[in-house]
Amino acid sequence: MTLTVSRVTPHVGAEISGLSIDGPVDAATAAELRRALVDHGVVFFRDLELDDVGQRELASCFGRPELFQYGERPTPEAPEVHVIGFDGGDAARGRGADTWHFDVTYLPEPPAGTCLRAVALPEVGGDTLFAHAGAAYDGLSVPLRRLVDGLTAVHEYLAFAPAFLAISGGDRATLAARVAEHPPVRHPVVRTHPESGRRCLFVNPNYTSGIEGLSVLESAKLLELLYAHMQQPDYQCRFSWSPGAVAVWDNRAVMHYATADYSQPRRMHRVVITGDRPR
Amino acid sequence: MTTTIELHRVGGALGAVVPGVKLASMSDDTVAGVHRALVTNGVLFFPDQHLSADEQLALAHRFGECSVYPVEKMFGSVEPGQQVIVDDADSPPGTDMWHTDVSWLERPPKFAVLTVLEVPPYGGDTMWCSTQAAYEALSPVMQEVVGGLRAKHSCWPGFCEIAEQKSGFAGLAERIHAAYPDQHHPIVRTNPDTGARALYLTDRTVMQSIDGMTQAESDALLDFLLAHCDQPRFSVRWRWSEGDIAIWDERTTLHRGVSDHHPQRRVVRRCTVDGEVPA
Repeated sequence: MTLTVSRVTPHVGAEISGLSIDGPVDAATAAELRRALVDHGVVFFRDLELDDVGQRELASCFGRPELFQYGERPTPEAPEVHVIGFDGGDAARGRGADTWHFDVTYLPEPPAGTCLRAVALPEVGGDTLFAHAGAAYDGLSVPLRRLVDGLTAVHEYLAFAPAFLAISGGDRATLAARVAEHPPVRHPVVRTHPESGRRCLFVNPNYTSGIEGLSVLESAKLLELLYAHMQQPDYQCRFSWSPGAVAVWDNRAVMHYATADYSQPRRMHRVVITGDRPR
Repeated sequence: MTTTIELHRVGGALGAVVPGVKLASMSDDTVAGVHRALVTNGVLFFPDQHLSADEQLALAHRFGECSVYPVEKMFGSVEPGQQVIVDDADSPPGTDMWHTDVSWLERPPKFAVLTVLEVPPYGGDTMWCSTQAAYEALSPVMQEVVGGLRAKHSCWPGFCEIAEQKSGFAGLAERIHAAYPDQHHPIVRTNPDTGARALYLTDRTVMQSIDGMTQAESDALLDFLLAHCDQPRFSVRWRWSEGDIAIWDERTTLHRGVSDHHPQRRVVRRCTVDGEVPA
């Protein structure tokens, strides 16, 4: 298979064409896809027509698809595929995804990657933005890099509580259960990508509750600074979904943001790929 | 009766692609249709236009009086001009912050027409933000607070100093500031073409304070308003192809030139259409 890989911006993103999936993908092609993902942080496919089984097959090129704990699983033959949906209503604001985040960093081993496919889209809006945390790290001044290099952050489901309560309409019982299920974990503020060796900032406003060893004020202000730095358009690309489009991102190097500028239903199918312990 | 223009909306808050219009040869009806689409969508993108410099200026002229560049006007020029801006390794990009153009004029431009003559292989996107959508998303209380306020917009020192450095004329900075005294524009203005209210803001080097407030109060409120505007749900990000023309409404949008292409070469050509006193 001959793949064409076109970069979207200098720091992040590439569109891949020329792939077809009608059964298992050969090892050479899978290796090429995996390399493109590590090089560009997120890859986009516009011309695949996948069902859930095909989506799992694509995801498996990048690692091992895993069962996600929450969410509807529409296809028994591909239980790793789960639904990220918005049923329509006043606005999609406050669903927890319209902030910059890495996925599920409240776990000791957050996913290595995520494969997201557009199943139903609003007429307009609902773009996803991606920011490369390796490029952001490289863009820090040397003294600040030295400072963050040695730090460890705490991540926990509790940090997501305000968003969860907004989404669930104030379901405190479920929140309490999830918080109990996911005790705080420690991740380095800067992780080294296990495949590229690149150093990447690894904190996010959804799940990072603080930085160890700093005062509350120092921790809040340093995180604020890092977030403002990571959120500069220079490190980003913005993907406008089309029906059937697929994005696969490297959750170890890239943060993302789901724009909430629509009120029509939007249904995405997602597969997460098993990750390792950040170090 | 005006022609109905085919539009493909780009973002939830603003932006539309206009595939079917040849800008170089529009009937008056088509101009009226484009004008209506422009003031309601904030920014329009016209692919495959490939306009010459004269054609671009003639296009701008269909929508009003073409602006004479302020520094040239000061020296007596009455010739409408276009600016060709070259980014390369020696001349880094300088518009990567949210702004509206030359808001320190008594009558700032209402429209701008931009094309990219040399598009880098990747990077160098332009972003627009709808300050009309941002205004509408403020709480009624905040709308009322800002509705009565004016902000000081000044070419001093930022624009003046850069103009003096670039020209090499000692004393030019003072002369520009004398010719273009500080303006005090309302923070909320009404677009006379639509009746819609929008925030009228620009970058903090130009928009320096709020009339009647202390600097600390001004900073807090203006920084809040800019941070509020700087949300993906109010913005679009345009990836340029050669021959594209973008036309936007300067009164209801902010824009920024993403600088991630540096040190690659990128050349743009712009002109503006004179506007009214903001009210």
